[in-house]
Amino acid sequence: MASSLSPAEVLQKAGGVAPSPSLFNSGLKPVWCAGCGSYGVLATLRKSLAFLGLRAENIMITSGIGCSSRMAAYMGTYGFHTVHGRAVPIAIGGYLANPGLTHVVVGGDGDIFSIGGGHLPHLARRNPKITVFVLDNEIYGLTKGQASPTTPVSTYAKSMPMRLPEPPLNPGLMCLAYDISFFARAYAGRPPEMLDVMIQALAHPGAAIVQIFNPCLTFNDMREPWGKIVKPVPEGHDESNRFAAMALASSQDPLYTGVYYRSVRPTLLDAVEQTRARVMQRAKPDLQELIEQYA
Amino acid sequence: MTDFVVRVAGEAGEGPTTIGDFLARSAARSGYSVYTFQTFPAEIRGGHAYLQTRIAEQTTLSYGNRPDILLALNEDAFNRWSGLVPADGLVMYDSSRFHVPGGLPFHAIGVPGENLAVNEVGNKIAQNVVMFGALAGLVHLDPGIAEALIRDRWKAKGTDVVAANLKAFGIGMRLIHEQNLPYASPQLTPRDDGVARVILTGTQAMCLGAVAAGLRYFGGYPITPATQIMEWLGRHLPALGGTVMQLEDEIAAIGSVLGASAGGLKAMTSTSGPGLSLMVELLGLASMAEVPLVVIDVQRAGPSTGMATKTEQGDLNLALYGAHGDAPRIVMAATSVEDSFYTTIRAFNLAERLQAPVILLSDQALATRISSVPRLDPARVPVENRLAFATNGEGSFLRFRMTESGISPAALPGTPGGMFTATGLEHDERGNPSAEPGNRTAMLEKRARKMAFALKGQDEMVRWWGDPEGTIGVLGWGSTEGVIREAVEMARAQGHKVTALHPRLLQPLPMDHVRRLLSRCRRVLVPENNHSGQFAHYLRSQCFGLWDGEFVQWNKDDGTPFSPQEVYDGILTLTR
Repeated sequence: MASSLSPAEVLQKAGGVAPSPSLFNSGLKPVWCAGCGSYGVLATLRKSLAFLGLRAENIMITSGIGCSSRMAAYMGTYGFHTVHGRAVPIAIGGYLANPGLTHVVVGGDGDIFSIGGGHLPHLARRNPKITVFVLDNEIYGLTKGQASPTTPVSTYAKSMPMRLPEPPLNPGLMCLAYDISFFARAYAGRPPEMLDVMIQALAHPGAAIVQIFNPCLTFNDMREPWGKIVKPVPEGHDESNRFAAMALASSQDPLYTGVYYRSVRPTLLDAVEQTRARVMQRAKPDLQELIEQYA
Repeated sequence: MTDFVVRVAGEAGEGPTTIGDFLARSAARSGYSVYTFQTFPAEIRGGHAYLQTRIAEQTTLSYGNRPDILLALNEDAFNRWSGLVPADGLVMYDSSRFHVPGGLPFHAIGVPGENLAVNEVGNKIAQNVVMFGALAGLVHLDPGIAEALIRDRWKAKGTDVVAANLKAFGIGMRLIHEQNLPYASPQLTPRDDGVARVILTGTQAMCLGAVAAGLRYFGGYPITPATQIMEWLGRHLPALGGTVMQLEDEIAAIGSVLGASAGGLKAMTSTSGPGLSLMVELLGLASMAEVPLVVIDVQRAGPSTGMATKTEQGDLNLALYGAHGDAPRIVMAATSVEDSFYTTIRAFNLAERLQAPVILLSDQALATRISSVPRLDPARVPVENRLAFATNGEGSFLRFRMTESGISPAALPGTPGGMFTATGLEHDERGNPSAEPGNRTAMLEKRARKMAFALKGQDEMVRWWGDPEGTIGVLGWGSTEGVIREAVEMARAQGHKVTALHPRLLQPLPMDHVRRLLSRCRRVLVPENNHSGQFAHYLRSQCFGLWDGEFVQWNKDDGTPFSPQEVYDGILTLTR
């Protein structure tokens, strides 16, 4: 049995009364196409933060470039809509500056897995408490339909007249191989399940990556195929077993949604504080003494 | 004689820089002024390295011209540099390794360093300390001071290692004391001016400056010759409440700095040319989202991998212009070891005052230069902090409020009522994306006009040297300040009326001062350690239409800094 908490249980654990999700609305109208899956993800993200009893000023959303990265500006929290691919290292700086806040990264498959892919192993091994939501539509939507690293091989489109020669990346296997401390998948077409996964990811005390299958109605409408093949992670899946999680991630049909893997281990903040404690033993703690050592 | 120059040369790894370092520090602690230059190969072991130290009674401004004393640890070092030694100079060499020919035009003393190390100390590796002892004896160093340095250097390795090195030192020193030298070695009088001094490198001074300015986050990636900044901060910053991170690349390094600064910490990274190239996109974000940060660029010879351990002032174009779009930023350059401290504090002040990125330029020669300077005084440059948003409980906070100065109060995450989303998109006062033509122009203008406030107190951003009424101008930047000062004095001693202006702030350029120089000088020499004259070209664009004079390029691009004679030669071309 997957040890996932229901929203109600999470709320109970948090011990608070959830504020209205409308708190997390900047009032800015999204630029997304009508019917885009991102609307549902945005609404669910707001809801999940509300369930956790968080206040808007204590949330930092960092995003990169792409349709989904626009989400930061719609949240009514603190946000940093940055450049393509760099949201993760920027969020790490933000986390180290204010480790008490809730740090969320939002990005697309291109932003997080292609241009920003080199940052993921380091996110995994550092384990800062940052929750990364990847809105994976298997396409570059904002630039009008080019191949992303998750676009299936041989896809034919106006932007891929040569038919896509390369097979796609399996982000689940990749993240699990990097030993990220939390990995989950969700489908934007099933908001209640997505809410559960998002809450658990946000509550995880370390780096979490959630791959959200998010249909792009304009360039890659996957509602029908995804609707058929997504299935909840099987009963009895052991979330502490990384190899079992990799076996789940290897499956193309069904595409499992839910929590694949989680492990609790020291965070980047723990490491930083440990270093500080160790250095305090022998370092010179003020500027005058530091200058004096050169006398 | 009021000063002399010693070059210690040999194979990297066998101790030329250790000996040179001991020599410089011993001399400085004895009350002399010192100034070094070191050059080393990119390889970990092997290849030729030397450290040149100038030791003087009064403040010394450059590493000097040719060496009065050459300590050659091997034959290659002798062959490379003995030709520079003057007739009244001396070569000391390891006579257990090679023999010098007879009839040399200078004095020569053989010291069998390696043999003594093997036979008397029992370890070949002690050769460098034997040779240091001999050198110390030759130039009359106080043995107590040198021995204290030796103890300090090896104390972590235990008493046996300290004892062996002290023994090696004593053997070398006695060998010199016990013989009648054919050579009158330099004997200076230490200054006794009551000024408290510190002995440190440009890198150490910059790190202290960053700490003085309130640095709390450093994110970096190793690159020669900037890595020592990360190492120094890693050792000291955590105890001061700061955090030091080595990221996965330079892009992540500056990215984390942006995140930390947006989170309210004073933050910086350090790199060299290749790394600065990678940081260019995120520097644009810092300009656009108005995030303060400092990037120290310890320049090395480029382009590409270039000569990674050699000095150059070749990144000025990148620092000034390396941006897409109109992305206002501050460019500064530290001019000396002492100035590295104060200018680093000023760099943080400008970043915070203007909420903009600051690129602070150093270079290999300055970063590794050991110098004795008056004790650093943090109180001389008061620390500035960014204009903070005061919570007023209202819902609609305008992070990018259109102000007369262009500077808007900033809110930090965690502050109720200050929520906004910073973005690299063009945006309105609230921070919301906007591509409206009127807003676009107003925002470009806002970000540009705040740069003028970098010039508030611009008198502190320049230094004038030489003849106040001079008609020959010299306008340099960065690490050449000392050598230019010295060359100017050489020229003045020959009756030439020379003035030098040396700005620390390069963008925006303190034009009040530049204009004053141009009003007096028809021709201005621009000495630079690069091939193409990057500063000269910049000056021409900045001063176009202001005068009918000429900026005369004077470049050195071989990976080593100017000697005073070389700058003096340049000045002479303007006197004809």
